[in-house]
Amino acid sequence: MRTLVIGVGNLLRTDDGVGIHVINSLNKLNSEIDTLDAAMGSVEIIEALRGYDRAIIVDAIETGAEPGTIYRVNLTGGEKPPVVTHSHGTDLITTLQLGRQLFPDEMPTEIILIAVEAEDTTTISDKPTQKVQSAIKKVLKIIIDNIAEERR
Amino acid sequence: MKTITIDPITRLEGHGKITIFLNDQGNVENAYLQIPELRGFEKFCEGRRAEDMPIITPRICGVCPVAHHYAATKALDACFGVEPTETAKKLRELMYVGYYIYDHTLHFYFLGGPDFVVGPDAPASERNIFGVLKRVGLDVGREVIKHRAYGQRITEIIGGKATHPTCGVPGGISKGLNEEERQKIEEMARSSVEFAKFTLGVFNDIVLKNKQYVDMILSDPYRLDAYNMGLVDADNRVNFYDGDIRVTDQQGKEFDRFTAVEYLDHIAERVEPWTYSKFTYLKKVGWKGLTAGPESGVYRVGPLGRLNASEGMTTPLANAEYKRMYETLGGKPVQSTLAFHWARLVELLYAAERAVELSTDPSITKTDLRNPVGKPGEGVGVIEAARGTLFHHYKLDEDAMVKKVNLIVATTNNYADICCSVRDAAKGLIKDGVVNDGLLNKVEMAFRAYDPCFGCSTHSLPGEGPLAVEIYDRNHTLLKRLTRD
Repeated sequence: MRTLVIGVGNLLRTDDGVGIHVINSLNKLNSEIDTLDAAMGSVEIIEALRGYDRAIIVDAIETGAEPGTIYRVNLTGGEKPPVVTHSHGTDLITTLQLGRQLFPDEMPTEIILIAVEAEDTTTISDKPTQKVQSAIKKVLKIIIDNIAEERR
Repeated sequence: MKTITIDPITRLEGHGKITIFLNDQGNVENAYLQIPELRGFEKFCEGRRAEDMPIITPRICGVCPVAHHYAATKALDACFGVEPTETAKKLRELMYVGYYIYDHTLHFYFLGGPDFVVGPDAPASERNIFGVLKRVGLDVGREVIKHRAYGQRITEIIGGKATHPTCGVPGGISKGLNEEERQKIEEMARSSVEFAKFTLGVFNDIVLKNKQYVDMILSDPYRLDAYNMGLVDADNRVNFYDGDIRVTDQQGKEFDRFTAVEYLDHIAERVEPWTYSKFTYLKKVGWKGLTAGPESGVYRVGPLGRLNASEGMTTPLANAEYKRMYETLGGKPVQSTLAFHWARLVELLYAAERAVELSTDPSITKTDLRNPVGKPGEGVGVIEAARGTLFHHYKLDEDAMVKKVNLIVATTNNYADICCSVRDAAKGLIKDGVVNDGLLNKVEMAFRAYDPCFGCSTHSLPGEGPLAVEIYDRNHTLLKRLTRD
């Protein structure tokens, strides 16, 4: 099984960059995991996903819950996630639907969204808040364990 | 008074909100476009190393990364008093037209095109890329994705990373092109020319052959008699990467012309209390509020601004299409906001043709990539982002640390135009209290034509300014107050 881990978000909007921070850390921790820094997550995700069996997408989310809360949403069946922070959030769902329509045989059969509740997405900073930094460590563990499990 | 709010504006990069005020008769009293986002990018840059700027600035919003990368690189060229080598200039431009190929493609098929291809009155649920694909077919959809990826691949081969390039350095570029890479780019560029021709064919068949659409494009609610601005070469042809900044008037005549370093003598910024984005205007004419015409310093940038501010394109197919556009729409300048869509496709074709020219230039694989830099100082870089003219202005200290940053981004240049266009469309289209989804979408179309992106158009650092947006009516009565949570 081939898995691609995609980070989505704006690195400079504090917690909105959580997806990109996860990708950067994954690259340092484990060079065997395929990753994509998709920034604001436009349609190039479709090209990147072609040929993979599974995608794990990491993004920030704002639902009003405790900052640092980690959500795991299965997007495989086109299930809609809760409201995502920025414009790229809604684009993501459209993008995945479009990918399935255009390349039905080449899109991953399993798409998982890991979303982290953000505390601050308006301050310009490349450092996440403390609560989100703690969540990043947990997200890394979830991803690495998950991929290791599949390979076993 | 009844208030209608379209929020959020769909199919946009970033956030925006249009508020329309109706009078007692149900006609539009006024309409505003607010930009309530908070940013603080310029402050964030101060105190950093100069060479970090081309890496940091593309992260501003992720929509125009290559434009910010090269505006920053060109500002550093100026700060260090160095001209890039000929090969470096060509490589930068080749990469730059790759960015145009993917950016303009996205706009037509995903953002602006659905209004025409599916129809302005179609239900919102169908007025999107899926509706477009229903009409033009899934094979076309695959071509769209393919050529968008080609544009990205061109920027990636030269730039290191597609979304966040790392190649631009003061005086040149960090990496050259080998023959194998050159061939790949040439192949993708040639394919992109065919794709751009095909896309113009779609526009021709679906939009231009439909009298209703042409009448709509040329109708009064979508007209704005602004000045036009864009970068031009020595022969006044459109140039995305370099040149003088040329401004033409309402008759299409040259009104002003200046170089990057002179921009502050020609452009001024204005703050209004009800929005976070500044407005820019031509200093020579002055600010007369949200109105266009010879007496108002409001100017248009972006595809239509560039074409109006120029005298043609340097590549043959795009130039022929340029001429056809002006012949069809009644001569120059074209002041119809919806003509942005056609202008954007003329530029898509130009970008693809230019990519062929540059990738087949025998000197493109040469290895003279960088000139030595001088002492750090002050400099301005200007470039045509897909959405319009983009200025980066830096002051460095003697250790080449950033002391001061000023950015004027494309959407800021167009902000007054967008406000006027939205208001005029609302006034012209909404009558006697009749408001429906189709009419509101037509108001949004005035706005969407500009392809505005608000990610980088507001720069106020949170905590520095008031954290509220206030909206006033014509009598300056506060109607609504928005505050950040």
